[in-house]
Amino acid sequence: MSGPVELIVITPVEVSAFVDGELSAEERCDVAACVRDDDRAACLVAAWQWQQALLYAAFGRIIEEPTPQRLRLTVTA
Amino acid sequence: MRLSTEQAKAIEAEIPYLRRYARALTGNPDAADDLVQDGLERAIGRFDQFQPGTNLRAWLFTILHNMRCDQHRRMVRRPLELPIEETPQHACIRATQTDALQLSDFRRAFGRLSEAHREVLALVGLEGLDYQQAARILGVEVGTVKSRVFRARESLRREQLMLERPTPRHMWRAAA
Repeated sequence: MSGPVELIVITPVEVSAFVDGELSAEERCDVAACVRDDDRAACLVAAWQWQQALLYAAFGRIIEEPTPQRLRLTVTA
Repeated sequence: MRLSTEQAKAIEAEIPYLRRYARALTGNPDAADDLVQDGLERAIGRFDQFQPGTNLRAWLFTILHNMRCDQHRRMVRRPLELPIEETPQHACIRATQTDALQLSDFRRAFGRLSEAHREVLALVGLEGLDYQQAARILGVEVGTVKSRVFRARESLRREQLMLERPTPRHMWRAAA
């Protein structure tokens, strides 16, 4: 006779934290298994990773713009 | 307060990151730079409160966050002052026309989020801060950041779906 089956509930909030690398090693394994086996979870991860890419494409390179003189002078004057 | 040369250099090096964070918050390059300027003035005035060896960028982000909260207390919540897609082209990646449309839609969708959602996505998604750092800046619990990031992503996904442009095949299907 087999022992009790452990039921692991993965919430979308945890899947989101998984995308950000904010889970413990054990939690990460659980969510990774869920993403592998569940199409909806896999779709969420893909959609949020795509959002991240677009967010960076939209704003990422602002840091390469030259600093306006008025801001530099605020600090250095 | 008078800054030393090293202190001034350290703050100056953070200005690009402050501008990016402020741009994501306000959606308006001029308003963003005004916010950064006010933030820099406040930071210089209170630099004796900064603890050497701690994260200067996070400290400056906290100042911008608090200033933005002050601004919000003075005005009713409203959409971004300018459509966020009006950010200069040189701020964007070079893209094909399709990519440019997608990026333009994304900026519009992002601009429709609440400021709390834009802010948490800017800190975690754009600036790469962990939940604990973001929580300190926002003055909330780590669990709040965790759930807020999730809600922000879902709101953004809904906005993106609403703005999704029909492709010719979609139109053909709709017409059939």
